[in-house]
Parts: sequence; structure tokens; C-alpha cells
Amino acid sequence: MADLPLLTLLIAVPAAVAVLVAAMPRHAVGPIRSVSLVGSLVTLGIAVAIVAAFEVGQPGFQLEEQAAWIPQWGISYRLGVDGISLLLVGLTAFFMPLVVLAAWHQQERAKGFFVSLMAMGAAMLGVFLALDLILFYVLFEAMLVPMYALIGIWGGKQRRYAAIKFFLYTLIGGLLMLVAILYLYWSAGAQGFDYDLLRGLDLTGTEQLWLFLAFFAAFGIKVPIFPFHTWLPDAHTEAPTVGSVILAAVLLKIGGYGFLRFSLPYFPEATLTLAPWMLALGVIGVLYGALVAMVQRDIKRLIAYSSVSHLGFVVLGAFALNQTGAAGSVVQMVNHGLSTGALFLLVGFLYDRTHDRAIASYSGIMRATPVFGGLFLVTAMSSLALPGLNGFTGEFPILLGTFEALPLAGVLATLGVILAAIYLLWAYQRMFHGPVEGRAVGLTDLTPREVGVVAPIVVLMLVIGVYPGPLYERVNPTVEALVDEVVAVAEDADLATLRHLTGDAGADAELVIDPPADDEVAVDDEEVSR
Amino acid sequence: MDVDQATQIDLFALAPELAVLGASLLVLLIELFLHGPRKRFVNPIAVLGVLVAFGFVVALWLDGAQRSSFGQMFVVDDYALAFKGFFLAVALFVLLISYRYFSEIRTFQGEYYFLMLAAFLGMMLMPSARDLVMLFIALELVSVPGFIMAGLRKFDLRSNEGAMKFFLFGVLSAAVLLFGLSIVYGFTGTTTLEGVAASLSAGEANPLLLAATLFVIAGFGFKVSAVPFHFWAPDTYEGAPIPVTAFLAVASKAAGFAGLLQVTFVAFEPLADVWAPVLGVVAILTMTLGNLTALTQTNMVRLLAYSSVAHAGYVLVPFAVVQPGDAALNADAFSAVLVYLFAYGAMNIGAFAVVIAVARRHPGRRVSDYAGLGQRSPGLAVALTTFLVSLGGIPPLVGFVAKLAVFFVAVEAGTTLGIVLAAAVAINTVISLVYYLRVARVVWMEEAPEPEPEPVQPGLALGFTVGGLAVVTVALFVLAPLLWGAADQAVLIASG
Amino acid sequence: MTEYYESYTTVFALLAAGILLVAVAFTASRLVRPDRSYGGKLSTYECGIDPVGQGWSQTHIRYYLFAFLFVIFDVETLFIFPWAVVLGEAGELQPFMLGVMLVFLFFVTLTLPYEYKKGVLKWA
Repeated sequence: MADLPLLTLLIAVPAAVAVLVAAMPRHAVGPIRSVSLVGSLVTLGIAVAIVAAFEVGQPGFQLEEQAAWIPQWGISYRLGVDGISLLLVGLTAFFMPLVVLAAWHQQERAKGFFVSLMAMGAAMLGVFLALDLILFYVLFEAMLVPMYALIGIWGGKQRRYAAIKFFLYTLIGGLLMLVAILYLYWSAGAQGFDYDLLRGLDLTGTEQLWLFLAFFAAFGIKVPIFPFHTWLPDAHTEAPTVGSVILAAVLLKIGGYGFLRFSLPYFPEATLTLAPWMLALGVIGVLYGALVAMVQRDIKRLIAYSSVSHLGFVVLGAFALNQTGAAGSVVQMVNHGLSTGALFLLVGFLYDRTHDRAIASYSGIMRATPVFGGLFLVTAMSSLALPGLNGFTGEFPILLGTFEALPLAGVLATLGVILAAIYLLWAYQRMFHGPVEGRAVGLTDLTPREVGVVAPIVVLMLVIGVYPGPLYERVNPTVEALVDEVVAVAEDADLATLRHLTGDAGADAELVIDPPADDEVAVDDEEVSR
Repeated sequence: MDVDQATQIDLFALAPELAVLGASLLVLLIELFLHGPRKRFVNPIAVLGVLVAFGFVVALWLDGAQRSSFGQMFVVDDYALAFKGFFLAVALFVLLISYRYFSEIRTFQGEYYFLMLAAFLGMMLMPSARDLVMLFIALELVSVPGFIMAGLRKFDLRSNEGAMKFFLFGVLSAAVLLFGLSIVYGFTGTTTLEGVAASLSAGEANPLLLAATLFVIAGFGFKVSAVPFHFWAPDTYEGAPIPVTAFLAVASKAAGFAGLLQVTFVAFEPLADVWAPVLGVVAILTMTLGNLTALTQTNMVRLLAYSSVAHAGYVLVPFAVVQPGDAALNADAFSAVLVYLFAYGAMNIGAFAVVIAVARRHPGRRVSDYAGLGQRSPGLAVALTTFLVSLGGIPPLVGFVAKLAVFFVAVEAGTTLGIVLAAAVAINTVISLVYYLRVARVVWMEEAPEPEPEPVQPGLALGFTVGGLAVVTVALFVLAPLLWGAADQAVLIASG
Repeated sequence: MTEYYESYTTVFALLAAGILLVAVAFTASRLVRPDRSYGGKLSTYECGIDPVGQGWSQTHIRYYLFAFLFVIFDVETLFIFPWAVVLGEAGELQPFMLGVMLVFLFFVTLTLPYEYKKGVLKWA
């Protein structure tokens, strides 16, 4: 078992299924979806095997695989998994069979649909595993075309606009990142694009700043962070159910993953300089997303804006620059994937029946379809971080970490949690309570297949909510090493900023070991007192 | 030049050219004795000639030795062989996509194939030419048949207009080029590329000499349709028979770049300080103008025409980062150009092949004709999407490898110009995807008009071309090391 | 370099002399000739017949073809002449030169059967 190249298999299986489905006749819808389902279940199985083989407590990469690809330029095929990517890979693989099941009755151009789904799966899994920057970039961009097709062919009324907006936003960020990657390559002496090779380069402050911003363009758009978020509501709203689920559950995570994987360790000084700004953007995202979500009339758009809000927490956690926040941020990504993915699935089931997404069209769904109502309630509770459900286990550490770093940001972010409760419960009240009216009349409850799609997610929500330990066990070592690394560089670089940010006593201890000149200390103290 | 050397003829070195020449004459004469629909059988003869020539190129490559004829006028080395192989492959595909098209138009088949082969003969001479005179002859041998071929649809006024514009621009640029070459000869006293380089690095820069280099570059700028010498391109591309358009957009352009490579990287390398920034500005203008104009096109051929102008801009980027004396950087820039050209050839001919297939059903060639193609002819639609997305530079397709190569050298140079160029390519890639995706959108996301047109039947030769090139477009991404390795092997820069 | 330019003085002197000659001749004849002009003198001279139609006239394509053929074969003689002059002094290069000329003539001759088959050589 251990000898198998598990990570390669994890990417190769969905890719092979995509090719296989593409070769099948167009009208054989039944075999096409069966093959897709089997393929995604096999993928999930491999992911489970990877989780089992993963050694808990190790911060570094595991199960690594490496092969030369374009040796002239030092581009290699290197895969590996650590605590951060393990969770996201698990999340992606977990969603694949569910997504196939959710699209079970896809009749219109089913072949292309499942090909796109499987291609997406392969690319997404690859992005989390890639440890060569060019390979990462290739997979990062390779996702665009199938996702463009998913939104553009099978989406709603404004699908074409939404699809191209999604494509171009992501592309431009990605290209700027590519230029930055190449700059790193030449700065590192043109040896290769290996992840570790480009880490800890001796870059000047200005260089770091620019490179950080270039990477930020790619990941900030993907997350999405406040001023770059406008593609998301469009894409989410217009995408078919399955597309929204993939987008929410996995695609947006690439942004947060990218921050933790690349931005922090590659540009520690720039991270430190910009951390207050990033925290500010995170807070803006949390509050702005929540406030805009509150006034939406379209339930799908509401959930889309709630994503903007929830992913603001991820940014907060990542740039709080302490272990609590960063670990919380990874777990929050998983939790957001579960809860928002489930919300989109449920809204999709509703839309399948009525073809209407307006909140005002519904009333009293709870009474008409209790199973649906119940599942929606649990999912919404998870999304608004009710203790005991999974949302809480991620957001709480993030808030703690943010308090530690910048108390004001913590306070404001907490406000976001309250707002989440308001917009979700308010929408729930309007749609699910009251007399059975509007489109809710004659609504049929979920079929066993539909329950089967959502049930595993709900079970996972409950399990994580009660016992998040296994997640943290795997994330913590990696995140701890990461934060230590950034903080160590920070101590060398700029004591004042660090203490200001973390209020860490460790910084004072460092002063004794490596005392700077007296006048510098004086300046530092002055800045701290401000 | 030593007279004794100049009379030395290595027939083996010349074999590929002789094969193409023989085939061209054979085609011209045999067509005279064929009547009616049987005239189309000249196509297989031309294909056979190209295959034989390809066989000779492979034999020369296996042989491995550097050969030359007529002194240093005609040299066969890895660089020349790489380009000859590329040109012959392009020739093969152009002939394949011509077959159905010309047998249906039924005009001038013998002349067409003769002219096409003659132009490819000029192209094959181009990379072997290490002498300014030879370079000029090769360039004209590519251009002149092009003038006539562009006008072959003589019943169509647009074809006449396009050919006329092409001709006028062509002779003007040839005159400018020749003027520049004569000044260069006047200053350096030699016409060999290496001799010019040696003389230039020894002497000091003279304003007139700098002007002459720019004249020469302008002459080639016409051939590669770089802004501001691009005005002929869209009209000519639109009016010409589509296979000829494919030829002009890929082969003729690549030949221009081959010549430009030899002139800039070898002969004018010591003056790179002067011409590199100029080409940088030209590159930015070319890609930006090409892409912005392509945005508004509703005619598929014009869209591809402007897209090919934009691609010329991308190919010019590595030229702009050349620095005199920096052999490592220049070698990387050189191989980036080759990688881009080879990749561009595969995907662009593929795109034109699909256009030819669709044009049989929709002679208007409007973008809106492609509505619902994804339903009617999924195979063609998938191929077209592959080519367009690859032209846009999205992985996992060969277009990405090409873009990567360009990014590589632009950033490697480390100059402000290099970074600016990289940023320009990045921005332009985004602009270009707007229109590539617009076509993809029409193909996949719009309904076919009522009554639904019949499925497009490409036929064997076209089908093979489209399928084969689609596979190449995907395969060359995975096999990027091969492509890159071949390009690295073929680098030819001034040794100094 | 100056010497190089000086050799051009002859050219310019010749040019000036040429212009002067024409100018003097025309001015002189203008001065001595009688000047009685009327409309008929300005019309196109067509062998004494009154001019018919527009200034534009179409010429049959076969005239052009013949003109082209003539130019091609005329230029060919121009090309062969200097070759013939130096052939005698070429020494051991003679076979090479002969071969090159034969190749050239082969291509030129090849056009004749092509023209014949295409019917270009037939007048009617």
C-alpha cells in the first residue's frame, strides 16, 4: 500500500475518468454517470488511504513524489502533502461523489458536464498537492476552462457574463503570479521551481513587497478579498448547483491555501509589513459580506455574500500570524466548504423544483417539507457558527488569534459572527416559517438520493463540531512551523512591528540574546508606546 | 569570398530543397495533362514531394555533420534543420487543408501548388542562408508567390484588393530592406552574417549604420506583420483563399522570424543596444493593437488575422531583451522564439483548418456561423476550442509552454523593459482571451439558428489535420521538454 | 572618402549638362518659332482621322502576354552576354559556369511547353 504513488493516483484517477467519459457516446447518460460516480468514489478511497498513511505530528511534507518534467528549466513534477493540504485534499475528495450524485439527473449535455466535473476534480486535487510552482500554476489555470464551461453552458440567465468575469478575474491574478514566480526563479539562481528551493530567498524589502502583491493578486481574487470579490456573487448565482458547490467548497479555498503555502513563508517581511492591511481587508470582507448578504432578495446570492464574509475570517486567521489563528483558518476553510457547500446543494434542490430563487416567493417551507427544512436549519446553524456544530470550531480560534494580534480587528470580526446569525436566521424565518404560501405550496420533500447527498455533510458537521481534535492534530504541527518561521524572520527584521502585532513576550527575550544598538532600541520603544 | 569554395556543391545538403523544387516543377507540368476534376491529383504529388524532402531532412539530421554549399552561403546545421523540419510539417498540413478547398474551387490548381511549393522552397533556404544576399533571395522567394496566391480568388474583389495591398507593401518593404542591406554592405565590406558581426563589433556605431539596421528590421517587420507594418495583413488574410491565409499567418510569418533571428542574433548582435528597445516598443504595440482590434471582429478570418498580428508581438518579446555579448541570455531568448513559433504553428494551422471545414457550409465565415457547432459537430468544436484556448495560453496546452518561454526570458533579462514586456504580455493574454472565449461561447453556449444547418463534414484530409493538430497541441504540453530541447539544440547566436 | 565622392562630380556635371541642353533647346525653339494655336492642334493625332472615344482604351490581354514573353527572353540574352564574355577566361571554373547556365536555361525553357499547353502562344 505504501509503495503506491497515492498522490499521483489521486490526480490521475479523476483525470482518467474524464478522458474515459469523453470517449463514451453522447447519449449513454446512464453509463456516463455511473462511471463518474465510481471514479469519484475511487478517488475518495485513495484520499482516505492518504489520510490513513499521513503521519500525525510531522510538520513537513509527506508521501512525496518527484520526477523531472522540463529539466532545462528545472521544472519538476513534485507532489507532497502536509497538514494544511491534507485537510483540503480530503475536503475536495469528499465532495466529488456528492457532486456527482447531486447532478445525477443531469440530462442536458450530460457527457460534457461530467467530463468538466472530473477534470475540475483532478485539477483541484492537483493544486493542493503540487510542490513545484510551475506545476501549481498549470493546475491553477487548468481549472479555468472546465469551470468556465460549467458556469457558461449549464448556468442561469446571466451565465455568459458570469463565466467570462470569473475567467478573466482569475486569469489576470494568475498571470501576475506567474511573473512573480519567474522573478523568484531568477532571484534564486535559476535552479528550478521547487517549492523549497524558492523558500527563504534573500530578497530586499521592496522586492518582497511587489512579489507579495503579485501573489496577492492571484490569491486575493480567488479568496475573494473585499475589493476583488465582485466576480463571486455573479459566478455563484449563475453557476448550476454543482458548480456553486465546487466553487464554494473547494475553489475559494485555493486563495486561503495560497496565502498560507506561499505568501507567508516566501515573503515574511512583506507579510509583516502588510499584515495590518490584510487584517483590515479581512475585517472589511467579514462585515461587508455580511451586511450585503442581509439585503439580498435572492437566496443564492445571499449565500454567495455569506461566503465573502466567511472567507474574510480565513484571511484574518492567516494574517493574525499566530498558531491559533492560522490553524483556525485552515479548519475554517474546511468548515466553510462543508456548510456553504451543503447550503448550495439544498438551495439547488429547491431550485430544481420551483426554478425560483427569490426569498420572497417562499413561506412556510418547514411545514411543507420538514426533512428539507430540518437539514437546512442544521446547515444554516453550522454556517453561523453555533457552538456544537463545525462552524464554531474554526471561527472561534480565528477570533482568539485575531484578538491576540489586533484587538480592534477581533472585536469587529465578532460583530461579523452576530451579523451572520441575523442574515441567515432572518432569511430562514422568512422562507421556512409562517403559513405555507407562494412556491412552497405543493412542494415535495427531498428524495432519498438528495438526502443521501446532504446527509454525509451534515454528519461531518456534527462530528467536527463535537470533536475537532483530529483536524487540529494534523494541522497544528505544520502551522506551528510556518508561524515560527515567519516570526523568526520578523524578529530579525523588525522588532517593533512584531511586538505591536503579536504582543508577544518572546520578542523581548530575543532582545537580550541579540541586543541592537541603543538608539535603535529607543526608537523601537517609542513605536511600541505609540 | 573564396571562389573555389563558392563553387563547392554538397548535393546531400541541398537534397530537401531539390526534392521540393522537383515536386513543384512536376506539379506544374503534370497539371497541364490532367483534365477536369482529375486536376486535383496534383495535390498528392506535392504531398509526396514534401514527404521526400522531410525524409532528407531526417537523414541530414541523423547524419549530424554540419554541411555547407556555395561557401557559407548555404549552411545546414541543427538550426537550419529544425526550421526546415518545421516548415515541411507546416507545408504538409497546408497541403492537406488545401486539397478539398481547391478541388472545389477548381481554379489554378497546378499554379497554386507550384507557387506554394516555391514559397516553401524559399522558406527552406531562409534558415540555411548565412549571407545577406542569400537571405534576401530567400525572403523574396517566399514573398512573390504569396502575392499571387493571395489573389487566386480572382472572382472576388476582396481577394484582388488584399493581393494588391500585399504586393504594394511587399515591394516597398523589399526595397527598404535592400537599401538597408546595401548600406550595411557599404560599411562592413562583407555580406556574410558573421563577417558583418565581426566588423560591427570592431568598429564604432555610425548613425547611418544604425539607420540601416532599422531599415533591415523594418523589412522583416513587414513579413511578420508587426505594427506599424501590419496594415496589409487583415485585408489580405480575409481576401485570400483560407489555406493561403493559414500559410501567410504561419509559414510566411515564421520564415520572416527565421530571417529576423539570423540578422539580429548573429549579424547585428553587437548593435543590440539600439534595436532591442525598438523591437520592445514594436512588440508592445503589435500585441496590444492586434488584440484590441481583434476584440471587435465579427468575421472569423479577420479575428484570426488580428490574433496572428498579436502573436507576432509575443514572438518579438524575446528579441527585445537581447543584450550584446550576453551569450547565455541571448541563447535563452533565441530558443524562446523557436519554442513560440513551433507551438504557434501547430495551434494556428489547426484553427484555420477548422475554419476551412466550417466555411464549406458557411461561406460567410462570420463568427455567428459557429453557433451551436458544439451540438452539430462536437469533434470539430472540441478541436477549435482546444486551439483557441491554446492560442490564449491556458494550460494544459502547448500555447502555455510558448507563453511561459516568453515570460521566462522577459523576466530573465532583469531589466525594466523586460518586466514591462512581461506585464504587457500578461495583460494582453487577458485581452486576447476575451475574444477567444467569445468564439468558444458562440460554439458551445448559443443555439444554432433555425432551421438547424447540417453537420459539417470535414472530409479525410481536413479531419486528419484537425485531429492530428489537436493531439499535437495537447501532447506538446506534456512533452514540452522535447520541444524545448529541440529549440535549445538549434540555438544560433553570434559567437563572441 | 572624399575621393569617392569626387568621382561623383562627373555624374553631376553630366546631369547638369543634360538639363542645360534640353532647357536651351526648348527655350531657343520657343523664341524662334511662329505661334499660331487653335483647338485642332491640341487634339490627339490619330493618323489624320478624327479621334474617337475616351482617352482610356483596352488592349487585349494577349499583347501583354507577348510583351512579357519578349521581356523574359530578351532579359535572358542580356544575362547570357556577360557570361559569354568571361567564360573564355574562366579557366578551370568553365565546367561549373557552364553547368550553372544550363540550369538557368533549363528553367527558362521549361516555361515554353507550359505556355504552349496553356494556349498562350496561340494568337486567336
